[in-house]
Amino acid sequence: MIEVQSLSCSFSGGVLEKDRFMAVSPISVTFRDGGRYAIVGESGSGKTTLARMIAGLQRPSGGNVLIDGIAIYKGRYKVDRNYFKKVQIIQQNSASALDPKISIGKSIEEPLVCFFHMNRSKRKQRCEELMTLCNLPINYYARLPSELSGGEQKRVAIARALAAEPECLIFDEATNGFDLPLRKKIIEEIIKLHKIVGFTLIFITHDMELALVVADEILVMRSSRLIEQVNFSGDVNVFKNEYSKVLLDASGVIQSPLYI
Amino acid sequence: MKRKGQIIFGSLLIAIFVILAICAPILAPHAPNVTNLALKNAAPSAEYPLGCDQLGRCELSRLLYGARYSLGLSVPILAILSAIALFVGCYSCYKGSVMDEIIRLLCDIFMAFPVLVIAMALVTSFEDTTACILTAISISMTAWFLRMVRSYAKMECRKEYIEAAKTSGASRIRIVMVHLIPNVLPQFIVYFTTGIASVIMSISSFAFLGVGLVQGTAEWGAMLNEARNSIYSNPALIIYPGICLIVCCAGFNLLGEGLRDTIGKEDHISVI
Repeated sequence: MIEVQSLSCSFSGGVLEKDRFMAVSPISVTFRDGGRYAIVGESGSGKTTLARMIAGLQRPSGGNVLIDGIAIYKGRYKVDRNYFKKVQIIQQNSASALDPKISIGKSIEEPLVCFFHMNRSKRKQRCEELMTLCNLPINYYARLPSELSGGEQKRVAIARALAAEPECLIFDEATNGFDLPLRKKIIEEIIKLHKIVGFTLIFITHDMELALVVADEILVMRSSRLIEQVNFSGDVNVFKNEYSKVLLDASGVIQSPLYI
Repeated sequence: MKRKGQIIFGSLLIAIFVILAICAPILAPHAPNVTNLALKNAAPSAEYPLGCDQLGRCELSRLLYGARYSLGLSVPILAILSAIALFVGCYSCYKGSVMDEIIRLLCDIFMAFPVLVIAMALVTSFEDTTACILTAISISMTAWFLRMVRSYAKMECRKEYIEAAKTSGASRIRIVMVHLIPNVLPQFIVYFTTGIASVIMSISSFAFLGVGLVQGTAEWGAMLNEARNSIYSNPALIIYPGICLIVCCAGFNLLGEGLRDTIGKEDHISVI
């Protein structure tokens, strides 16, 4: 279970205190194990910063993240490396999230080396399992990221994240820049993986439609604040906030309820 | 296509000089330091293909052994320096914090002084002048390399794959060794090759000024210096080592420039 306790983040824009820019105003949420969550909001609403703080990549200005009751940000210390084993984030841009000089196989094996200290043969076997799980052909093992398509690069990033056997997987704009059929395919694959592996799924997206498809709990963010949190089970009328309705409208879900 | 020719031509020139340096004892017709005053300023002959210098030493043999000094000093020095600069530069850049600032400051300080000033300062305070000029060259080259490595490493550090490696549990050393260095290396090799040319020139310039190497060493710069006295009586003596220096440096520069235009094409930034 991941508990977010009045987590906030601000960036200094200048010397003066009034120049401070609030990226995330204090937010408290609890993510249950195995749940499917979506954080929805427009660009600049602070959703990515929130995700990065949960992933342990961005030090918050205030508050803390607790995983199974243990705080991850302790004083001035860096986040413990073992935390990354529990929570993995899949970056927005998977093309630049893969080392251009390292083969796909070696990229996927990195968590196996660093977290599990597996030997070579065991590593390769596990890597091939993960590649099969993520719909990647085994013969891609020795290829470089530049030789793969965008969708395949995303799958590699997912396979690498799964290699750490995380309890929670955060997708930051998982389907950005993909065409519709590919988006649908990737989303279906992610949901299937969630059913097989059973991690907590946190989706960061600007697309309400996508959020409705993947999540059973939706958090709506606007200008650094969490404005609404709803349990969603097929009925769009659960959204009470005006802004959430605007997002719903924009996504066109209301007009085409069949999509769900 | 033009770049490819440049790389091949440069590599060819370097290969020739490397072979000459390695095979100097076999190729040289005479010992480089044997004087024979009877043959002072002798004209080229079958036995002495390029004639003799002002002390009657075989000019060709001295040139061949000179290649050993130029390459034998510059390449190993630069190899060690660059290994250190690569690791320290990447590591400090990735770690950031105070250490990185101190390294940056030191680089700026040492880059502010020309090699000559550092060398002169060291030569006046220490006995071993050869070690002094090598130290001076090392210091200024390290500062230059470190700064270059840092600027490229900074660019790489901003990319998401470094963060992804961090979340994959990679330690700091692993990120530097496995991810950062291989990605900085292509650009670094370019600077390495042009760096060799500049070190060869520096060593020879010091020898020409009479600083560093022992008087009478068969080194191109030193040979130029000695030949100054006989510039009117035997001008060939000043031409031969000059040609060697130019061609050797040109080889490294051509290779470096060719590599820069092919490797650095994607994301080339100008470094001081």
